[in-house]
Amino acid sequence: MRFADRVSEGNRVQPTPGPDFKRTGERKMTPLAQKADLVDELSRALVSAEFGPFYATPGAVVSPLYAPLSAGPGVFTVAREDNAIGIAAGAALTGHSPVVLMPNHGLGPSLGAIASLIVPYRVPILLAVSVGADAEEARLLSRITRPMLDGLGLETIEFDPARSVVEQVNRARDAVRDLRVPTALLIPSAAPGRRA
Amino acid sequence: MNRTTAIRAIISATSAEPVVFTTEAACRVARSISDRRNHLYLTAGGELASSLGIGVAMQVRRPTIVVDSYASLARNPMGLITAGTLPRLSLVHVVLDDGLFGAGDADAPTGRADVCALARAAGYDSVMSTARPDRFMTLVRDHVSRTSRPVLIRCLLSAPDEPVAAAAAAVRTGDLPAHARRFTESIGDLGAIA
Repeated sequence: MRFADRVSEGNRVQPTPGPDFKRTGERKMTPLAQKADLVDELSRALVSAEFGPFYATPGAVVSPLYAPLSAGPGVFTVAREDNAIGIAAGAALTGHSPVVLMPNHGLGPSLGAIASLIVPYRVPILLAVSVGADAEEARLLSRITRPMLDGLGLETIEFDPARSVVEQVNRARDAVRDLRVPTALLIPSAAPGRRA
Repeated sequence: MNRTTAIRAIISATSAEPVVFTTEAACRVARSISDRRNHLYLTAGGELASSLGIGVAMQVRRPTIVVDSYASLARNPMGLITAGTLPRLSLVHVVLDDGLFGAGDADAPTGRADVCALARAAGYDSVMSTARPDRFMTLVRDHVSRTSRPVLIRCLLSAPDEPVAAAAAAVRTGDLPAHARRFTESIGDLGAIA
């Protein structure tokens, strides 16, 4: 079975948006920031699936996962996204399944780290990428986030609050741990008006 | 001292400890001297060598060696700054300093930055610099055997290197996943994962 079928069945929900994405209707991700139960469930599911250690960049403070993971297993904050990915890669190569919390605007500075380190070495790592949808900048970034991840060759799972949290996290776990495929979990994050 | 002499000293001073080599010549030279399972060679993204080493060291909690270059460090000094904030990090950060800003003979546009001053300012516990091979070997050996804090050893390079057969010494792109797994297995053999 192809990887995409095995790991992401049901999660490759949208075709890559093209230039007319906005006109044909954006698939707006429902923000999680105010759904505390769901956020807690997601953070617990990540820990239960033996993801960790957890890393974050300063911009990830708006990630809904930041607070519960900080209060739980702990989050190590690194000033730059590419360095956070580098440190997480080191942890991954010791046998762990690390997670990097980052906003999608951190993907740009991370392109080199992903393309030169994570993908070619098949480093088992999960990028928990928060995606905002309200500010103009966030809308623009949301449009290019998925195509960027696809272009880099990462497996991408768009977190759907309507589906089983555990099932989605287990899919990420299967991709990262069993298949050693670096994976991105897109998480709708920003409260209205906040920059993600 | 040239790069080959320095890397030979590092390999001689280490055994099973994780060693992360930055890109280009450092990897080729190391691999041509002794290709060990606990060596991780970066074929690109060398500016992340220190970050990667930090990630390893934070988990294994025993001396981890990063073989960095002036060029890699100058391109992204954030690893230096991060390591300096971790006083209990067992990291031996070696910087092979030829004062150049990349492959070939390109001069650094701003000249040679003082990486020792940067490391001290970042919070490294101990910072040393030498151009003597015997002194370098002693420093590396001593710190690999006992360090429990981030230390930086700058190795000043001034002599040209011996030629290395690049084709024979480089890790092929298709072999990188297996190379990463080999490194992970060597870490597992240490039995020291936190």
